[in-house]
Amino acid sequence: MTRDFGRHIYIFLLLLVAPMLHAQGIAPIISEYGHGKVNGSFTVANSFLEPISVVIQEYSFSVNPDGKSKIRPLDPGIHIQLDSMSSKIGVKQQHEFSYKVKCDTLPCWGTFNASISGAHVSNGLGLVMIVPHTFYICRDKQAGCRDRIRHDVFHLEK
Amino acid sequence: MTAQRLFLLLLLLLALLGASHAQVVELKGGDSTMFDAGGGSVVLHFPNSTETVGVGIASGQLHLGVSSSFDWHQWNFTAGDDYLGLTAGTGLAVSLRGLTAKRKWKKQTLTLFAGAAGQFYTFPYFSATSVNQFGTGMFYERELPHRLNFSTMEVIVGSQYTAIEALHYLWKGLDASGAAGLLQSQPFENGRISYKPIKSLSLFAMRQDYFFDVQQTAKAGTGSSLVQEESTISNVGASANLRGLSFNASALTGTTGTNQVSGQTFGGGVHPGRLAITASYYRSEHGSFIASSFTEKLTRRWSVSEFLTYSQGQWSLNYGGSFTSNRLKASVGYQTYFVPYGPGLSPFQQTINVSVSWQLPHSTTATFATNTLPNGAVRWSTYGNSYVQGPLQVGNVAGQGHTNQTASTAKFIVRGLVKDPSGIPVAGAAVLVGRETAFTDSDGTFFVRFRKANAVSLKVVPGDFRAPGNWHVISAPDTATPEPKDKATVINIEVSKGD
Repeated sequence: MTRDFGRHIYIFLLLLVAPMLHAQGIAPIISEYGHGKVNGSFTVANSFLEPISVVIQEYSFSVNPDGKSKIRPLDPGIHIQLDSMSSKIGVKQQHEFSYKVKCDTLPCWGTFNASISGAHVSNGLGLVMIVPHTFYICRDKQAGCRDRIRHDVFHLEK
Repeated sequence: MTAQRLFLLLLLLLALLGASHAQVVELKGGDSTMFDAGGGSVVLHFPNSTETVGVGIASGQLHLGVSSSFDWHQWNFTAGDDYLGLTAGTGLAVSLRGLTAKRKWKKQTLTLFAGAAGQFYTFPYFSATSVNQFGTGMFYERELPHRLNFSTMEVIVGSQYTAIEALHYLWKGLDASGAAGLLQSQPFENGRISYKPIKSLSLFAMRQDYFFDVQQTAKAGTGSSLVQEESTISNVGASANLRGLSFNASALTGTTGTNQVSGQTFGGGVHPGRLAITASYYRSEHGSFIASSFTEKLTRRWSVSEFLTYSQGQWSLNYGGSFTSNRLKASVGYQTYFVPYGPGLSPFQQTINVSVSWQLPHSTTATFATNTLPNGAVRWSTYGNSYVQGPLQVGNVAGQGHTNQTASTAKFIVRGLVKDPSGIPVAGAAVLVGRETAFTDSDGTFFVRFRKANAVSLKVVPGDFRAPGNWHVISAPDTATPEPKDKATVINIEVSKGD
């Protein structure tokens, strides 16, 4: 008797790889960057059973010592270039939005709000779901940039 | 076989009949020498239920999968094919055909089943069950105090009994789970633990049983049979990150039947700028080798890799890379796996993987992949799926999943502003610019980037507006010319909302 060696190995590979597969609405939720350079991206995935439309808008925000955040229009010292500001995403598909950020002063931070809605309705309410992608940019190293801004600027505990 | 084919034809006719009434129809199809299976399935999504019909050939035999899932009085029922899974610490699942009832409370889940149990075939394009014995069982999961999660699976299939209890504990840097009991009347235990005492250090240990069917063929090539085999893998190791450097080490032991193998790995990596460099040393009783990779990210979309391997006194160099865009993802790479199979063979096996995946319009995705295995055999797999909106879909279908394809390097841009007759910006207006659909933001503005400054068509699409209501176009140009982004003029569009 002989065994199918190749198929045996492949079954093993599938067993090892399968648990890594998962789906998300937006990823990553938070990005940290160091040395003032930002060339980033985030991906919006459509897990619904109908096509969706997505519109991206950028904002600045602050967090008070109680931890409550307040969103405001983008500060004039933050310059953002998005490759696209909206998209239609098919069922179970995804779209990557890439961006470049240049800040007049560091550190700086901001958020992209992805507002997601489904099919057009003539009557009734149109539902919109908003999911954010937040970026933090530091003058020095990338690691721990968010914690440093939360501690040094927002005076929150690490 | 004739009766089977008539039955399948009847099922397909029923599926097509149902498709005309479904809210969303999901179509899947594919073929693969990796899985040794080809087939397809239709999933009908109704407002209150989901119906699935799958047909395919796996290991030379025709298989069928049918199920209907619906909610009733806080219970979820599945009639037809389903599986009873105990995931915590085991990865075990029992394949079922019959009636499954599931109910979720805030901190507990109960699943009951009665019918027949047997072999489960699941592929990206169809799932099927081959049942041969009566079976009944239950699964229960509960969140306990002190961050503990308890689950139990009790199943009787024919004369064999499965009773497995599992616990999962998660606290700060500690993640531990384990399961023990009887699996088909045989003793069974699995477990894993990982601990992060500090942010840059991780320690782990695991023991995992894998069960799968293997095709055995006679040497003369006359006939084959499926044989169930069990493999056990134990792994102990650690990984650390220090000042941009990463290190890892692990010791592995694997048992398949009477064959036992062991191996050790030591590796490290560094990530200077656009480069990612890794090197690993793999050692076992069958020899050792060094595998290293150098990957450079050329652009946001392109990266190239070199794979350098030193084995049996010889160096070998291979190339790979990847391309990623919103429509196409393609990659060629090498991976090393621990496979405890084959007397006299190294448990560390390298495979060459090629993968291409397209996101097509109309919510359609197509994938093609090949794996070149250590013995030189090439396995391929191709499959696709598509979603079609049925007549029960509420409202218009926004875009049928047409995906933008703009380039970050695009130097030209079309900008616009959509207002109503009183000058108030309209948020969520849809404007088709060339082949791209843009939606306005809360300021009523939109833009689409282009690589070239060639004139493109422009069309307002009221049926795709995100804002509710019946919208009409009052004024909008038919064409637009992309301009350099710093000098782009704003195109003014006027729309009104009717009754």
